[in-house]
Amino acid sequence: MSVQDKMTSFFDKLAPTINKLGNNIYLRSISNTMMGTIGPLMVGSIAVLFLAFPIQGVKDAIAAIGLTPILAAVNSITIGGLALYVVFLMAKNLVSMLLPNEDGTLIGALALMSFLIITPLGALEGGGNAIPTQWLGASGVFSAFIVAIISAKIYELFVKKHITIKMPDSVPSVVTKSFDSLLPAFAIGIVFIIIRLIFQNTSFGNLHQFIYSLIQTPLQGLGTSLPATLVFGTVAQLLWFFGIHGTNVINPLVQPLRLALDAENMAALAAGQALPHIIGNAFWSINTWGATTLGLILLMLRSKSSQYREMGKIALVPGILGITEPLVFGLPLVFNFSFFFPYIFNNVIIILLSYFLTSIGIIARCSGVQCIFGLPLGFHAMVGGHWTIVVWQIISQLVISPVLWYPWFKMAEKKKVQEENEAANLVA
Amino acid sequence: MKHIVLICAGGFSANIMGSLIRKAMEKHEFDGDLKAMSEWNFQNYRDPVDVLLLGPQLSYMYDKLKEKYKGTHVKVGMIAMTDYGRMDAEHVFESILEMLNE
Repeated sequence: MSVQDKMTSFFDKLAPTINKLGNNIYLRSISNTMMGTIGPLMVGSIAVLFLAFPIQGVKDAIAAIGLTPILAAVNSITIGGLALYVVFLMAKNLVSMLLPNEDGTLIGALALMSFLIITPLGALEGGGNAIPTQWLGASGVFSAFIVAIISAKIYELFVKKHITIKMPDSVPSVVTKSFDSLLPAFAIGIVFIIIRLIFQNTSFGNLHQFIYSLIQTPLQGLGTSLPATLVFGTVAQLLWFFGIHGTNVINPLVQPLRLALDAENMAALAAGQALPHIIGNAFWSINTWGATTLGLILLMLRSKSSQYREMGKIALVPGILGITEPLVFGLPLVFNFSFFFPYIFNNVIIILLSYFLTSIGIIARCSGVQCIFGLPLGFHAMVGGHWTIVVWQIISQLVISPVLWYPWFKMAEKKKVQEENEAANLVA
Repeated sequence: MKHIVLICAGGFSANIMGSLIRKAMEKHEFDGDLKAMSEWNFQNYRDPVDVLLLGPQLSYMYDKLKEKYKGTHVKVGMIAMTDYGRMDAEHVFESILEMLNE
């Protein structure tokens, strides 16, 4: 059995696990929740952009018209309020998957309520209450997920076990329905009141602190470290090699961790402080853009093989937009052992180089603003917030990437041209 | 009138492929329409579907969706890797016809 056959049969054994991971409703809900937060995050990013505008004159003008405190407030309730959007969306998404006939909006509201029940309320000097923003942002993201999951599961229990209040037939169904939705609301509310009571009597003070210290901080440290990022980068590409959308399968596991780091970077930027993190979701997106395939497309456009040239032409425009499928399935890169090494490891090499150049200060740290998929090379990296990041994306994809592909490409091309010549001879 | 839905992970590559298949459908005066979307958006899609096509990168969802539509009129199929990669809309169109004639 050759190495290639061994790898393929190993993957076949692994496939059911990957299928389970890819179809897991919790992971899929997490992934789509993070996607759903992009709207508020983008609005917040614009606020941060103006708060930290690099030109002093513009900053002064913003302050002069009284916009600065408004922008700061927008920042606190968008990026600083990330957990609020997460708890609503997660409960809604999860219920819509657990119970296919429900859209989950009501349970989203209940999860938000639960989240606020366990959040300590503060008294303002001079009267009035206020919710401290401490747990509403990045530090509350994990408790938001957990609160949303508990709320959704309680709701599911009520629906699946048909726990409802019996009403006489003469009561209109609209009324019955609204009463039915009240039962889980009470149950969820009571559960979280009890949770708050319990944690109030521990040294943690509240559930947020407990989850943050015991789950979020260790996971974040592990999951977003450089070695972990390299491992995830390799695994995602391995999945792609076997034809599976690796990013889609891996992302829900690490994206919330990375997004929380990005939120911290944005908060620091808004406050005029140094950015604390190199690795975040934006760093990941900018450096794994297109899995370096554009470099291979460029080589193919000038290939001696007519098939490669044709393929290069088909793949070019999607490639510039970061869409890799034409090349991945058309060349293909999937199951193609001639390109195994560069396809799996180029991303990781780019990540390593980028990390190194950022840590010595040649490339700026990413602002934490999220990239929009589908924007052309370079434009995609603009959200990084610094020209060095844009230049890096262009250089890494147009210069470094072709170099990394070149030796493997030359070998594959030689074989291809030979095949083409033989085919031509047969026809002649 | 037949309704074809094509899904991929983010909806991007399905969109490119979808517009090419639509052209092929027009050329052959096929009575039907095609919508391309992400797998997540399809989850909440309530309009009628006759043929559901998956991009090959969603192979991990194929069995599950096939199971879901077992015993209904909805045909579930996965586009072949080479067809998807080379954006061979004609060939995909032929397989749509085959699926409808099954």
